[in-house]
Formats: sequence, structure tokens, C-alpha cells
Amino acid sequence: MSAAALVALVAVITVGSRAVSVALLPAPRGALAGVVDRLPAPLFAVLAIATLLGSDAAPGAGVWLAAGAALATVRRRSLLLTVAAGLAGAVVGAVVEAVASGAWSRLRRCPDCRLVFWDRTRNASKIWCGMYAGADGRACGSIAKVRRYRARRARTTL
Amino acid sequence: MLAAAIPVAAAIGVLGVVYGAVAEPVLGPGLTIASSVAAFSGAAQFAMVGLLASGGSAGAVLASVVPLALRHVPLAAILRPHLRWGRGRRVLLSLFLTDETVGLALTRGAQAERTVVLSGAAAYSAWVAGTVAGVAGASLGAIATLAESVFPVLFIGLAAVTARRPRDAVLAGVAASAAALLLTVAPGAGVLGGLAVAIGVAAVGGRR
Repeated sequence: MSAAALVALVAVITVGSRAVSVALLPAPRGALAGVVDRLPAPLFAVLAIATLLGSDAAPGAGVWLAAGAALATVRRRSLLLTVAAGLAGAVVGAVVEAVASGAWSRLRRCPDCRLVFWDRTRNASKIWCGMYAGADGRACGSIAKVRRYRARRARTTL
Repeated sequence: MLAAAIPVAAAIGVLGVVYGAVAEPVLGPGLTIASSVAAFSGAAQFAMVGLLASGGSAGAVLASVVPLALRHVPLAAILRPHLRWGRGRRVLLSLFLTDETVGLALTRGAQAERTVVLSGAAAYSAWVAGTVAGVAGASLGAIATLAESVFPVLFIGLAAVTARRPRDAVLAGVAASAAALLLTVAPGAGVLGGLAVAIGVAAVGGRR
């Protein structure tokens, strides 16, 4: 099956299940009305658990932090507050994960021009913002090396 | 009313960016955007792309998308008592039947249709715009944690706003604990197992 056909099929299943459910389900009566009336909160609580634990990979510390922050606000019963707290938790969690994995130290500041940059080198050894002048900035690395070389030569040849 | 739709649309927009960035290498730019326009279902689309990327067959994709589609039955059931529109208009309304729009509509019983339409339109726009932005090229590393967190956070919030009585909160807690136990013991139970737990708790919870 081609990818386009599969996408079309997934769309048909999704949209079709929505249309059929909303169009054909009758308004609940009797005992069923009570069940439907009590269903929403348990339904969403279960979906929260399913999205937390349902994937193959265990969620990282950041996700737990986000869920914890969201959970701390539920007594206020405000979706805005819960989403804001959860996303703030996720941002803090992402920083915590970056620090823990050592990735944080790749955020550097050029000793020459003070530009903050992200060290993408394989062995995390970038010092200056750049070596060559161009559209991206100045040649801080080359300038520093030339300066050091001239200082050394001035000492040795005098 | 719109104030409640904004955090939902924002969260869905973030998720859309991630979907665009994840799906683009698998489906290509055109098909990725088309899938968001046509299906408008984060859970189903992520499941499809995840399986395709790891070499899953069409059968495996359908096996994971159908249970997610069955989720629309309980969602429609809890929305139904609040709807007064006829069948034809309900079918049009169903295009916006998502977890988030239903959750918001339940908090506004008197204006359920209006809430679904407005929050649905906002969420749909954010989802498609996010997908386009993701396809156009967003760096994924930084927002991966954010993306993983969006669904649990959104559902926790929806559980909180739909718990109108103290007993609802107790039932939500019981259902969450039971589902956590079930998914720890039998991870294969998935969304269908969770739905069964929720319906079971709601059925038993009314008895004294």
C-alpha cells in the first residue's frame, strides 16, 4: 500500500469514526445516562495515564516533571493554569535533562566578541564563535591565534 | 469562551510543529501537510508516522489507528447529552470532535455546540499551521520533551475541568490508578484497555 493511500485510509477511519459516533449515538437514558454523566473525568484521567505509560520508551525526567507540575494545579480546575504549569515544568525538565546529559556545557560564549553560540563540534572543543569572517560574524579564532603567534615571535626574535 | 480555547490551541500548535518535523522525512512535505488537513488527529498521525518510520506494515498502522478511532465513541457519548442540533448539523460538528474540544464543551454545557466549533476551529488552524512550520524546518531536539509532555498535561487539565463534583475527582483518581496498574502489568492493553477501565469505573462508581 502506498503512503498516500495509507494516509487517506487513516483520515477516512478517523473522520468516519467521528461522524458515525456523533450522528448515530442516541442521547443516553436511564442507567446509561448516569454512566455517561460520570464518564468524562475518569476518561481523561485514563487517557493521561495512557499517553504517559503507553509508548514503548519510558518517559524522561522532563515529562514526569511536566505531569507533576500539571497535577499540582488540578484543584484550581483551570485548563489555562494546568497547561501553563505543565509546559513550564517541561521547559525546566528539558534544561535539567540537558544539564544531566552534559549537553548544557555546549552552550558557550566567545571569549573575544562575547557572542553566545552552540558548540556543534563532535568532541565539544569549540572555543571561539568562528574562525573566518563572513556573514555569520567575525573571525575571532583566527584573530586570537594570529595575536598569540605574533606575541610569541616578538618574545623569541628580540 | 475563547480564553479557554487559547491554551489548547497553543499546545496543539506546538505538537503540530513536532509532527511536521517528524513526519516530513517519512511522508515528504506534501503528504505530511495533507495528512494534518485531512485527519486532524495528533494521536493517530503520530502512531502512523512512528510505525512507518520503524518499518511497520500497513496492517500494523491500522491496528494502532483503529483503537484510537474507537475512542471517538465514548467521546461522542459524553458530548451527546449536551447537543441539541439535528443529525445533519451534528455530522458537520463531528469534524471537530477531539479530546480537547469535548473536554472544553463539557465545561460549558449550555453552549456545547458553539464551544466545539470555536475551539475546534482554533485547534484545527493551530494544528495545520504547526505542521507547516514543522515541515518548513524546526530544530527538534529542544522541543522533544515539550512534545512528549503536551498530551499528558492536556489530559490532566481536561480531567480536572470535567470533574464537577468531588465524586468525579475520586473516580478519576481510581481510574488513573487502575489504568496505571494495568499498563504496567500489561503494556499491550494500550488505549483500548484504558477506555475499558474508564467505562468500568464510571459504571461501578454510581452504586452505593
